[in-house]
Amino acid sequence: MIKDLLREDRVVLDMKAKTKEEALRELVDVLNLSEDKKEILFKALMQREVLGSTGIGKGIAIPHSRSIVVDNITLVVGVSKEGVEFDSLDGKPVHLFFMLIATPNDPSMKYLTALGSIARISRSIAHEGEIRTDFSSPKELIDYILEHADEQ
Amino acid sequence: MSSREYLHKLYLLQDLDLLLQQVEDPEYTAKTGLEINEERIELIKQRRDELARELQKADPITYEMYEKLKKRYGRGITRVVDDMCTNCFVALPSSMMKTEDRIETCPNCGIILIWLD
Ligand SMILES: [Zn+2]
Repeated sequence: MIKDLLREDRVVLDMKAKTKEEALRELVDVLNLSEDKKEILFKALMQREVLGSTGIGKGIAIPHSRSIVVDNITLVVGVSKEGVEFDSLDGKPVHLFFMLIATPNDPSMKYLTALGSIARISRSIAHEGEIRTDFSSPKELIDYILEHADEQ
Repeated sequence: MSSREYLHKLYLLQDLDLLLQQVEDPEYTAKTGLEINEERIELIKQRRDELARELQKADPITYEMYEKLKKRYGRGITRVVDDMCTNCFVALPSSMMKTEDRIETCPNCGIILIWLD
């Protein structure tokens, strides 16, 4: 499942963002959407953050939302070498982002299962200690993520 | 309020409804381990209700339709993609044109339609 969601054209290897807003905008920018749609998606992601940061700690965040603007369940992965302040639970800057967007029609099972596997992968990566940020290609990053997936 | 503005606000309302639905689903916290700030849920509910009041005032008929559709389908407004309704996946009649100048509904399932660029 996660394997199918990871795409080389939906990766940011060296994020420039310093703040939560900038990070979400940078991740949304990866998707080939009109400015109108980007704004809608950005707003939905920010609303979710109001309810508590999706920065789960240890340098990882999983911003997510349902949104009318995507045609299918969509994942974007971003890496920040310097880290982004994201109001994380442990106060640490975020280096690895998984942004998951589902359509309003995607069944809850599918959406929550994807979100659940991302949370498990994140914990597995965090468990190792230092998060890698030195990826030279999108494929290398995707392989790193898949190494931590328990579903293969 | 123009139809365009109304439709845009209507799906902002739907985004808030979907968000509340999501965080109130026990499966959500069980599967993700994410903590939700309960007090902030009230804040989102307030935003939601404010927006709902505005939309109800501006066009009560469309607003009531949205609420009814939401009960039936879990959503009240959907996008048209490739001339197809993305709620029931039936092709729209060719006479139906992309518009934001009036509120259109799907002839098959009744959901409110939006064509987004
Ligand atoms: Zn329909």
